[in-house]
Amino acid sequence: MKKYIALAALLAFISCEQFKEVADVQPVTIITTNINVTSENVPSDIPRPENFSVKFINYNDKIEVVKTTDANGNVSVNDLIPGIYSITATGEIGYKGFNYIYNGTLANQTITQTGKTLDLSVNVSKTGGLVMKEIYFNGSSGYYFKDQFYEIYNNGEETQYADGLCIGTLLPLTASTTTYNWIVPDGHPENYAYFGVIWQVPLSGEGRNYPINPGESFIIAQNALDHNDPNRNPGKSIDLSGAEFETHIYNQTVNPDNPDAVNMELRFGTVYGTQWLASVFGCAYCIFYPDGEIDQNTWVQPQGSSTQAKEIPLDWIVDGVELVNNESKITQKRMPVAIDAGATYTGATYNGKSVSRKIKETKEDGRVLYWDTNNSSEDFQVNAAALVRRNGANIPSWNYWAN
Amino acid sequence: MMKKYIIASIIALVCIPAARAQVKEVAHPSQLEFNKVGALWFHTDNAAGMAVTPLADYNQLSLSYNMEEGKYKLQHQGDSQGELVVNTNGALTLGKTRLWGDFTYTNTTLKNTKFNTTLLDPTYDMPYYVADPNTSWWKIQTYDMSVKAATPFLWDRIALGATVNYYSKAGAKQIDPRTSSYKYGITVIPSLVVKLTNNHMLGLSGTYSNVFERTVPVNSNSQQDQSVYLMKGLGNWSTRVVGSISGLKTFYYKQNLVGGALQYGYHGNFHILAEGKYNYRVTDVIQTPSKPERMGTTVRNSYGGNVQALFGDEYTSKIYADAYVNHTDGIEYVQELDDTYEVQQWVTIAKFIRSRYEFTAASLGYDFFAGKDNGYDWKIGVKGIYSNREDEYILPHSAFSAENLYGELNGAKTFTNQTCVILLKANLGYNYNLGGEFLYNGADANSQVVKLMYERDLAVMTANYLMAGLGVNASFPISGKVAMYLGAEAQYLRNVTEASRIQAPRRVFAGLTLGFNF
Repeated sequence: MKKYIALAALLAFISCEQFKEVADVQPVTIITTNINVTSENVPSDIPRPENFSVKFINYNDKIEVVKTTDANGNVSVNDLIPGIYSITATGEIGYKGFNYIYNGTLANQTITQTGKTLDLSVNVSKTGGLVMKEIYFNGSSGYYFKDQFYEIYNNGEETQYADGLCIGTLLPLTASTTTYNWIVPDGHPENYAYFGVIWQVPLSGEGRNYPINPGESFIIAQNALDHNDPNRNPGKSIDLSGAEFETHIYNQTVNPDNPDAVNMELRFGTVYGTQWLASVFGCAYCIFYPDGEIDQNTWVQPQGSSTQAKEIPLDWIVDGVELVNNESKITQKRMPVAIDAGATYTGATYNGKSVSRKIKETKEDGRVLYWDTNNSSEDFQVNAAALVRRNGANIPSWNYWAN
Repeated sequence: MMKKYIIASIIALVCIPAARAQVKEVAHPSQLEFNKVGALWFHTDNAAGMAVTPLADYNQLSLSYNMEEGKYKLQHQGDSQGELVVNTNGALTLGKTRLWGDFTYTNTTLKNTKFNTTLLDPTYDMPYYVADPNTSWWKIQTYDMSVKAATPFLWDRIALGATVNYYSKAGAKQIDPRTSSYKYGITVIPSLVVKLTNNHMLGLSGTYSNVFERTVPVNSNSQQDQSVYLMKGLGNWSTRVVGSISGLKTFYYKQNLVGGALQYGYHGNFHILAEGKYNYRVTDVIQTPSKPERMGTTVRNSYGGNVQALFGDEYTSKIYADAYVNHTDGIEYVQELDDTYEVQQWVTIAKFIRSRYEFTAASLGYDFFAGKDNGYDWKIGVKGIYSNREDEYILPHSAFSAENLYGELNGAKTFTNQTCVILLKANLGYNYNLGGEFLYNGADANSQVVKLMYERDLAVMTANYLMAGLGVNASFPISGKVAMYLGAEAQYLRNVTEASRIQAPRRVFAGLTLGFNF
């Protein structure tokens, strides 16, 4: 009998707690938020745009509100629904022949009370340089994943060199609620990105073996092979035999080394199998030029975990793209917002889809410039099928083996 | 452990009457029905009232197969549904205590359902669930047990009673994204009746109910993630995925209900019984037990009442009416993930009522029985049902409403010969829609949830329809102690609204029963 009395008391207690938690909940109302866009980190000799476009995105409620600041960088948004917002400010101005892109982000801001004022600091970058133009990561029909590739494009006005360029993926491997609290020697974990794997284009001599002219792109393939070959995934995949680089580790009958493609060098992390398989659920990719050699024997770890990562200063990073499983994971970003304020996704695995940058403009000579606002939610599109050198990107002159 | 005791109690209740039945006569179909017509308190929350209007002893065991078929249905229902039902119930006096017990096993197959991935019992006022547009079967098994007990009047003044119900359900959706779901519910309603005078009775009952549902989303094809809608009410949703390492995890529904009811009864030359009741229910929806993330909460206030009046002897009339309002608030949470080492938990920053669901219903009915042998020779009845659903999503504002008035005429006739007793029933009804609309101002007006679910459900819920049914129950005495009966029933629903008739033309309901009274 005592047992039943105790059970009844427990149930009554539980229900009381449950009832108390909802006792004073009020109906939702519209709230107002003020944004002040600042640019104190931008050199004073670069002009500011007249105003900034400020976008509020609430992924949970699928709400998107866009406003324009006044000349002082202020804007008041008076029709927000309480929630968690990613707020981006963008602006663009031409100066001395260059386009300067202003970009700033406040990620995952909880806005639940009216009257809040947020400062949004923007940075500036010159359009141009190397960008990750197309990423094909989620494999093709038949659970075939050896056809992953990354296309890197010269989106600028000057010749760039692929020599020594690194590509890698950040930890955690996939976007999830698992997060790491990294411990770094200088006590400023916010200044780094944490790589699980780093591959590097071989660097020798003057570092000018692999020039990439404006409008040219190069391909880093998992395997620089024709994946439509009858022995691989015929009719469902793509031909990567013309890729400039491959992340090859050792020969296998069905995955031989392509003697033409340059083998990338694994600089950090452990890769299992015959080549580099990145997660088909979407990694956070960065390309960067290291300032010196990458020491494979040192790493950092998160608090309470044996996971090892290489910490790379954010100012080394040339470009980054956050890929997540689907829309619901955008709020679980791994990439620092200074590198990529958004995220892109294909929504499924092994469907042959890729993501690529949207065209911003096409020059008179046919050269294409792509969007690069450091916000892949805005800059990227999803393609029904991956394609090498989409939109007519040129092949580097030193690639003699591509068709 | 508790479940075991309840099951043992039910078995005892069902078996003991079987032994005692040797001393009583077999009841025929109309007698069984009339038995419950006169037991006014049996139809309230107050089990102690069985001391005032007791059920006569009876025992019943039946096996039924029921089916539904037709496109006039809500999207989460099956194009066709079949259920196998085993039921036993009975009433008796054990010592001086009046007892009634019921046990039902149901095995249900729903074919071609849509937009319900997780819930065993989807309802209009539970907006927080997972939906997908894939056409799928559901298979569900239910065990449902109830007991009512009432003491005699103690000191000729107070009768005590209690109702206990326990059910458990297990089910699974059969196509990716699929789920396996488990649910139980227990309700306890202690009650008392005070005899003010020999004719005037006052009753009081309190209700406590606890329901728990756990549903685990999973894919059979682990390589193909399935995009799903995480529903939030009135066509609002966010995208989630079933599958992959970051897909949706286990959902929990935790529900508690408390309530109470007051009854007043007059029992003299005629009988009248009125009941007013209120209950308060909170349901929390949580994902992932080890890192709980609140998916929403509903808070329902339900209030209403009913009146029954019974008069006449050889010719008996029963008037009954009830009305109730269910008002449900849907609460959504603004949460942040606290990723501090060794904490890693979702923290609620704010919570708001984002949606409201109000359902009002009222019914009024009259049945006339021409008496015969504790049953009836013939019966005629009429009833009307008013219902109004008004739902609202506050911001961005959306609204859903459907208001209907249903009227029905029904009758039954008993035919007796030397070998059997046949009860023939018929009903004819018409639903008149008084109005309804769906105004959507959310983020995606062209989503499948809006176009293929809400708009189609609205068409069904705002249709005028004709309902006609026939039923027959033939009871054959096997001995002086046992009768076998065969029952068959069919209902035909015909949508007569031009706009929705092609899409949702009809629904057929049919059932066959083989049973024993003893």
